[in-house]
Amino acid sequence: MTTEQQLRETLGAHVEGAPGNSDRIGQVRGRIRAHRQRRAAGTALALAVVAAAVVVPLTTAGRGSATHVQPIATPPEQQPAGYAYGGRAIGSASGRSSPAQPRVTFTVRPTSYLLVIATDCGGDLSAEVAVAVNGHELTEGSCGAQLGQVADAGAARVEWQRVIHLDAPNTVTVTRLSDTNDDGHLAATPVPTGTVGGTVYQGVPFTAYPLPPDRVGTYPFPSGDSARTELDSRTVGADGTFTFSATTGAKAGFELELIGPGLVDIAVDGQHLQTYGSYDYGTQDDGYALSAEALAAQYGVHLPNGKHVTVTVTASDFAGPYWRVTARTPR
Amino acid sequence: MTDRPGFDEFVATRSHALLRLSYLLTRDWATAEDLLQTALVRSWQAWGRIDGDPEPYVRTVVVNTFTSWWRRRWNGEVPTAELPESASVAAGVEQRDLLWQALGRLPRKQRAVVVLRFYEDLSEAEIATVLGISRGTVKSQCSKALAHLRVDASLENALEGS
Repeated sequence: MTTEQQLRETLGAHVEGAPGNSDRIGQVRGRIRAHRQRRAAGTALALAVVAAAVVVPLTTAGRGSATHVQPIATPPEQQPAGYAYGGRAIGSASGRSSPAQPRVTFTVRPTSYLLVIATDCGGDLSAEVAVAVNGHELTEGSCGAQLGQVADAGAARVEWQRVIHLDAPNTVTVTRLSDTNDDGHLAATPVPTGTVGGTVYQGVPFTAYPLPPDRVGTYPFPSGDSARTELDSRTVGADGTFTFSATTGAKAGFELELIGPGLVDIAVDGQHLQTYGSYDYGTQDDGYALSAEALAAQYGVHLPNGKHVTVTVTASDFAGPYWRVTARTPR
Repeated sequence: MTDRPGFDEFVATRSHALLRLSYLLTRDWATAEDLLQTALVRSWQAWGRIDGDPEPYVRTVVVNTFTSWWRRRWNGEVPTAELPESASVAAGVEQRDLLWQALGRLPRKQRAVVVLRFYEDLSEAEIATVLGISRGTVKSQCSKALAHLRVDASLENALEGS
């Protein structure tokens, strides 16, 4: 039986030596700018989507081997109708939300679990929605977000397998919820009148995906931190396999930044973690923890803490301005 | 970009403590940093409307963002309702590690209650305010969490007495 003291000690012990971040304010400022840009772009995108009323016919089998994509940080730009997030729309609905009718429902017939469910409330990023498939609520959160990835599905595959039936009709429901207060609480008010919608995209092979117009050259290569291990497309080339060493542990990890399009596969000691995909010229980044707990929970890779490992990064079909991996070393 | 007086200073002086809170919720430093920055952006938007010390407000945003978080990542934890029986847990693993693993298996809201109570030392009423739920729900969520953690039942009394 655990005691209160043990519980307090456990919580306290695990936050000792929290990693520093001297540029947090700069990163937060960058997010604020990006948020504003997305908000502006999202409004325009929503108008286009509603006008197009995209409903693509159901797919046929044979796309199950399609590779990846990650939820992207910016709305797709100048994308051919029906394509986004590395996938092709296989079902969509959008309509007016009201207290009496807060939801839209549509049917999809996926042939693989390489899926993204995107929500949209007319560009209103403060709106909250709940997403359900076949009556199973998957999650609720900010409208405008995407659920899942067309990369290797990752841990989402478990949830997809639980609620989604391949090669069969699946009912998707997007329900607009009451707005939230500033602090994130759902307000005790009726569902507001507005827009609610969703689209399901299924991954297509990278080479078959219609990329948006090239915007190479519009982004300068970011400044780096020479004190940390870095691999980047500027010094080692756009495509190829690159490695670096690390020691697993609570503070070990690395960041991947890129402006695509392109694919980046990541493995640790030969065990696949994830394939990261970019299908546009937006800035993307993600962090990867190299602790035993995170590797097991997020990727099903079992390695003990304190082990010297080799991280392998393989870029392919990369046509964007840059990608960069920065190893995070304990300080 | 419109400035928010005191925001930069708050990030410089207080965000490290909030990072630790974020880590106890997410159990991963990179994810914790992401959660914290997401919460700071939301707080920045409301900065002018915050009265007094902004830290309780930002903490509330951190916790509520965590409990409803799905935007940036959906590749991690899958909370389970039950823990394995003690006898079946790998022998020789320290109690602290077992408890840490058990915390990770709690549903998000229960984990938030435990962290707010036993790390942040908030009272039942304060936790209710942060999470936007009733005191009775705080009590029931904590009770369920402690049962899953196989914590001494006297802890529940400690919560009630706060």
